[in-house]
Amino acid sequence: MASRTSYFNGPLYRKTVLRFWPLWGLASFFALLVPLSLFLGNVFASDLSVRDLRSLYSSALSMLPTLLLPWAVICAVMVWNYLDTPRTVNAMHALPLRREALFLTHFLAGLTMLLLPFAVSGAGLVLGSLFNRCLDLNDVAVTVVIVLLQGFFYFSSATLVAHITGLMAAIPILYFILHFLEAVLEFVLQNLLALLLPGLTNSFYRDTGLLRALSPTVYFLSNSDYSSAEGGLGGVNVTINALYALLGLALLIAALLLYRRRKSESAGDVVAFSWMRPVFLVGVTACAALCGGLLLYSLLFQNLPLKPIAVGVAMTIAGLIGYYIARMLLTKSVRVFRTGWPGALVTAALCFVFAFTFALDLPGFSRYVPRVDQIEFLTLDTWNGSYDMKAGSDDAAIAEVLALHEALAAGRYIDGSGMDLTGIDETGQSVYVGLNYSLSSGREVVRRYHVFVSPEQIAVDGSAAQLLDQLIRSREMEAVRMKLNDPDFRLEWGDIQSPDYNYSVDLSTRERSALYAALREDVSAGRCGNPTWYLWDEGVYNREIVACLSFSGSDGENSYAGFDVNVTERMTATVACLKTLGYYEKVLP
Amino acid sequence: MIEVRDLTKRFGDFTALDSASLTVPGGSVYGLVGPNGAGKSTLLRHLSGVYRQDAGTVRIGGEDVWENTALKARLGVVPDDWFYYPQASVHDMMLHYRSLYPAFNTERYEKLKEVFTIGEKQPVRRLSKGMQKQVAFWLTLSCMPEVLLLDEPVDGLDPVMRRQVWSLMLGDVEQRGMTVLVSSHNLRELEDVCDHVGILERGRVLLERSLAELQDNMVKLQVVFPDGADQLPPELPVLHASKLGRVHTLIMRMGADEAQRRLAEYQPLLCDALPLTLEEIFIYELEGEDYGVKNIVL
Repeated sequence: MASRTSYFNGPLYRKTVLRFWPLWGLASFFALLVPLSLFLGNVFASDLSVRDLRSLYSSALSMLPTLLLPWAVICAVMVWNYLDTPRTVNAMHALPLRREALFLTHFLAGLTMLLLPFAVSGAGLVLGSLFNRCLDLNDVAVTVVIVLLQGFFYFSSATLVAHITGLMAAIPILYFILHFLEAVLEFVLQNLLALLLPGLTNSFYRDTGLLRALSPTVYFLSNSDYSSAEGGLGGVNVTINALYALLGLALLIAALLLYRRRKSESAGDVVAFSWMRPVFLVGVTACAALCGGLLLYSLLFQNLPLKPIAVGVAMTIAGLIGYYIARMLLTKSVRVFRTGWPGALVTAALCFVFAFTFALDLPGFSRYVPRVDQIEFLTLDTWNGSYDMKAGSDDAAIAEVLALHEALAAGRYIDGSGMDLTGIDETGQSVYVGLNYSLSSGREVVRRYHVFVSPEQIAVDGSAAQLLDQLIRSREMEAVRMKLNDPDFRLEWGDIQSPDYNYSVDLSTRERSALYAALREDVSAGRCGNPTWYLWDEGVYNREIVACLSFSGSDGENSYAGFDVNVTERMTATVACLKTLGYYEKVLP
Repeated sequence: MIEVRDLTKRFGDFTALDSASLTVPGGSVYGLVGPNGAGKSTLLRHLSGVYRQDAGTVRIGGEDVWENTALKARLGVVPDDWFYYPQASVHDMMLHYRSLYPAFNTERYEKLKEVFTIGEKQPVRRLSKGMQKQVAFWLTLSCMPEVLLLDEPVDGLDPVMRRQVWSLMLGDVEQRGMTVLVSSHNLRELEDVCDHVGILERGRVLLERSLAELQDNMVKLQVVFPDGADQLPPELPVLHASKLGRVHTLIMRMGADEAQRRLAEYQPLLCDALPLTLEEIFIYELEGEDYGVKNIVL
């Protein structure tokens, strides 16, 4: 019998698949409900079209990663569970089969279990499509290929994890950690740095490019549009799936190489290879220090003075917990405290080094200001809206914003946290400043500040408040905000509102064009802006009409923009326009 | 023939086998004896291809065992904790064995039904431990192995079934020249069936000999010295001594003739040589290794 010395054993494959029939049977039953509900619902109407089905395939494909992620690890736990206990692993390894044969047989059995529910659902959909005469072979083929590619990738990654650990319960934990490690670490680091450093933010989802690909599910979900240029399914994202399948093949080969070297006696160990144990120890300690440190700092220490020490203490506590848990898992003993103290000391020392390095911003993250020649696009968000600036056309405005950013990065402002105004006895306002840079290198730089603006602060030369005041009131910035120099934007809609916002009038195309022209004239003449613009709590805008205009760009919905303008009496052209239109007295009580 | 040379196996800092060597002649029944933790099961797992040695060689019939599927197909293994699939019946397990072992003999399997009176459709997990062991023997012997490796094989079997199982195995040894390596604490049982014995202690094979050789190398004597002498002559090489009344019971590492010749110098009133059981040999051999079985009254 060839199978006895080959790399695959048919009877063992069948045995393995059939052993777990309740699991994949149940999954297949639920999978079958999809075509059943669709076609039974339409059996009398018979109005299903190729387009309806394409839409269904498309939705199914966008959901696929969230289905495959847990299902793959369930199947992996089922087929590789023999590696968990000495009894089963000894029995399997005593069989007259090579490790390669055991590996491939169990892998294929697991992959079969993984794909069976999808096959059942797919077969149901194809039969229903034939019945309704709305079968599109291209759509079916693309769907099948994507399911196969993603299924292979997910199951390969789960297989690799199963061969790293010797403990069945650890497979799903490690699997999910590794699948989201990049996203979680990014989240934690962003939050930690945002807590430590002024200007850095935790609220912005950044596209980390190729790094994001290390979190495959997140990457798949953000690249889940499979519509091709021809109208059917296909497109560039199929290639992404193929690349992940190639990665899955590499993971599978790595898993096989590990399995060939794996010792049977590692059954039950959290980490099956002795050379991986230091990696596990350091990894768990580092993750615990970062994640637990962030949690502890946020919960307990955030309001304490001496931020570096507070962060260091929080990270050390969490890091030590992680360190000792990792040691307990590795040694399968709770007696780890006496022998583990050198590692504990190193952990504490590294936590404090990390805390001081970042709390004192030795890498200079918060001091970093992009150079003007690096910037491709810049958005300033502040109290009165967004200012979108393009390199080339808005260089003067960009220079003004960079001057403000440099003042903020150098710490020449009050109220870095945006919260603590204790001790400031001035009439003023905390003003939000958000800066989003798109650099020509493809990098995104995001900074968030709160600047306390008051007459006293504005009077200080070079202060952030002074620079912000100049920026808000400058003609260049107002022109940017109102898209006066941006021919790509088309005026779409406009209204004027009473100061208390209780009364508004929609403007016709002609009226809003006239208003926009008047605003342009006032901006050019430097008649816009309010010298005490920051005193909105003091009622400086209580008697000013608000003009709202909105635009659409050349990309349609993707480039919508709008702004509000408080019409002061200095804006003579605008006031005259509103009077001509007959709205001035009507809107202003 | 099974040949193990300088086999070393470490589990972390613990050395389970420390340059262990043994030779099992083909067609023999070899008893591997040792206290708990001596390394018996570890050695058997090397022989069954489960463990890979850190050093040394493990060969059966001149071939290395590790990843040798052709060789493993000729091995039968009955471990102490025999594996079966949780939902499997005896019949399912038979199919499993049949699909994996080319020499599986269905005719023999059918014949053995008469010995192992267990319903084929019964789920193995519902059987008692002893019955599960019977199934293990049933299937393993149906594979017609050339080499049979047994780890504490008859634990849980009733005396009648033990006799039957041994009878089957010894029949295979006689008819097919099957080699049996059996590890056990049941020294009484090994004495009845083994022709070779190896003693394993702390990962080392202390000695291995044929049973006859072993028994000839150690002697138990009952001696009564004249004039009620209480003390043994210190120059006598005695492994263990005890005294009941005037009768000294001595264990000496030498042949019976040699021991009696040396004791004759002291003109004993009584000097009888008694046969040693394997259990006694085991205990005294290990006592010499400081195993701590002193003061056992035999």
